[in-house]
Amino acid sequence: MNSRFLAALLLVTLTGFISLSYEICWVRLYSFITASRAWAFGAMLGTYLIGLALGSLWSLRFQDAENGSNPKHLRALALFVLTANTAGFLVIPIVSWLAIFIPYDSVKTGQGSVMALATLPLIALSAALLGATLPLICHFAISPDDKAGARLSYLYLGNIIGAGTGSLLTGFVLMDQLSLQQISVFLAFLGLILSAGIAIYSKLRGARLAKRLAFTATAGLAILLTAPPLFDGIFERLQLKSTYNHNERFDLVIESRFGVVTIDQDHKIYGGGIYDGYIGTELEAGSWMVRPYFLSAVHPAPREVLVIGLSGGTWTQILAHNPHVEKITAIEINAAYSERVIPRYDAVKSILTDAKVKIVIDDGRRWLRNHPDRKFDAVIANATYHWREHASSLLSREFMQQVKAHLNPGGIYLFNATGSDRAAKTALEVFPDCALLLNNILASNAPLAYDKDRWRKTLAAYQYGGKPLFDTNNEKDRESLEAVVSIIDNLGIREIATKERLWTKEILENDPGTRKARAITDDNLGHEFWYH
Amino acid sequence: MITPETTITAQNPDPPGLGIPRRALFLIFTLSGISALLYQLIWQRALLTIFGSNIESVTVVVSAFMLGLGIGSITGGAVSKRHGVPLLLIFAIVEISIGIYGAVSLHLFHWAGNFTTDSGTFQTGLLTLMLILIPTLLMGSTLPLLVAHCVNVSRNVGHSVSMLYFVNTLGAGIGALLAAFIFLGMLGLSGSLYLAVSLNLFAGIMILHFRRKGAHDPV
Repeated sequence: MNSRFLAALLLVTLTGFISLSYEICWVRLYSFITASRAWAFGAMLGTYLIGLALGSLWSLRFQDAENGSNPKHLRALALFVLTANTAGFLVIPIVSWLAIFIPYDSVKTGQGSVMALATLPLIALSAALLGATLPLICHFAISPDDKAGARLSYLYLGNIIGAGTGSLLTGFVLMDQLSLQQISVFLAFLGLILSAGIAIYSKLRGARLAKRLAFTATAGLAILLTAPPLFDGIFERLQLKSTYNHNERFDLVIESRFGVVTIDQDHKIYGGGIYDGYIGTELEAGSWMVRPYFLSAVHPAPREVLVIGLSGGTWTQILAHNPHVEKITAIEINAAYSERVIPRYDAVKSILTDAKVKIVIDDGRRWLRNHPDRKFDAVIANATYHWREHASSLLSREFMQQVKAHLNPGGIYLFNATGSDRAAKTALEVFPDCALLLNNILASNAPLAYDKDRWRKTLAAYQYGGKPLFDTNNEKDRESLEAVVSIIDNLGIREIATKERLWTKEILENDPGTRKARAITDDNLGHEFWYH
Repeated sequence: MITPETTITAQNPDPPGLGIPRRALFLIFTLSGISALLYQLIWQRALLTIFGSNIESVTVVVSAFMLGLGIGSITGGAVSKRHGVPLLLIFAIVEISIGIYGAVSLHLFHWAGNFTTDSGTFQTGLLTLMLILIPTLLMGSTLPLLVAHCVNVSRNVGHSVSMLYFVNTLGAGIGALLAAFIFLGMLGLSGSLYLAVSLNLFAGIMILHFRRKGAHDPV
């Protein structure tokens, strides 16, 4: 191997690292702006690859068929690397500023998310610049002889090693330690250093080299100075879109390798750019919070409970204070919740030290699969919106069969169907009895039996920090308690407001939406992709 | 012996040494790219569902893809160095092999999922790695094989790499978009998988068809 080839090997490895690192950052960007829709990854990746392909084609214009080793190829390459990195650095702030022109993403329609895809040409442009580098390097370093295929394979391997390292290092280490802004600056600087190195190696000398290096240094200084204002408030803009207020900032933004969690000033939690729960255990009539409290209405003594999806900890906190519950295993895939969110909020932080509660960082399905002998009186999954990426993994027939196998006789599975008729249909196919509580499905391997008196007594016994949830000596609290438990009186009423709804299996089965719905399976992926 | 006079140009798009019309070769390599990305999205999804979408699983799947493509590239490059090797025929066999593996892949993943129920993270990760390594190794070998074949004819590395990289990567991009917006929602995982399988088989059979028509690899 000559020095020209070794230099090329180093170049393709570094450009592979930078390219894939940018791709990882852009995957995060588009996952967040589209509120974690499954197709966002494919859309971004497809655009990125088409950009790379066009860049490769474009690079033909800069190739001299007669003399591949001409240093002018390297000078062109140095300019490509410089431009590609500057463009790559600007993608995230530009998209975040364009996002404020996108109508706020209603979770019902997803219109705003689709419009976010209109910003994808920016990705294609940046990728095209990055994509032009590999063929230019190959043209420079590989002689057109019968060893061309082999030499290409070494460069290709170098590029893949760089790309793989970029993917792993950026995705799992840098994303855990640095913010998106810091990673973008790091990558831009790496690219600028690479560009300067190529310029020096290309035998540019004297004033021309000095001019090129000065230009590169100026670009670096500009990136350093403009990064803080460009990246300030990016997650607010990407999430709130047209409703973004220039002065508004979230209470907490957590960037980790698991994703981005934001919490607004009203203690509402957003995971990956979409509502993911609320921190607070208050209960009143007509409140969505009735769902975890309802467990004692359908189970006489739920001693052992499995929570799939700890999130901000509200539901686990409510269940941990249920006087019948003795042990809770709470599974959460994103460690940021238990490490950085829950300790900040008084309403939930005691679950971290509660002897009843065991928090496990794992994938819910994997945990169930690896613990076939564990049985529970109740399994609770306050799952995310049914259209989000990987949502069908927690709504599919296969998963529900797995949950069913972990229930004790008469055990309850309560999960958030978030309005999905297909999730309801799936539960009806798997469990002998089901009911619809607000937007949650109650499912059991035995007929569901509702006990209003037992539930009233349980709620009356609830205490947080020694303070009763309902002070039964106080008439107003007694009325509130009665209003809450009266939801059981709605059992079997079809035409009723969503927040007061308690449908029986018969109503659910005969609902036109459920009747025509197709069950969710691991194979059909539920609502995650279009044409579902 | 192929001489520089046989360089592929607009005036001479299908030099005899290529063994296949240039446009057909590019179309076939585009289809190969489409199927590769369909597999990536399908396998990634299926494996994360079976083994868990926690960070360790994601790491194993990503690493396996990269490792397979890298080793495949070296293998393809090593094969292409040998004189007298029918590169197009090997490419066809590789495409058909990817298709055959693809056809049984989901069954294999589910079997592996059941097999590793009581296994630790290391064993599960190792098995996942092996499951991905085999097909990605084959995929990684295709670019060096075709580049070597084209350079033997054109003697222009930049042009060969640019065009083949272009059509294959373009295909990959189209594959990712089609998977995200049409196939995965419309056909699900197994339906999309069989579509990818048929693309590989079509690519391999087309190459064999052109070889049978009389054009052979340069030696």
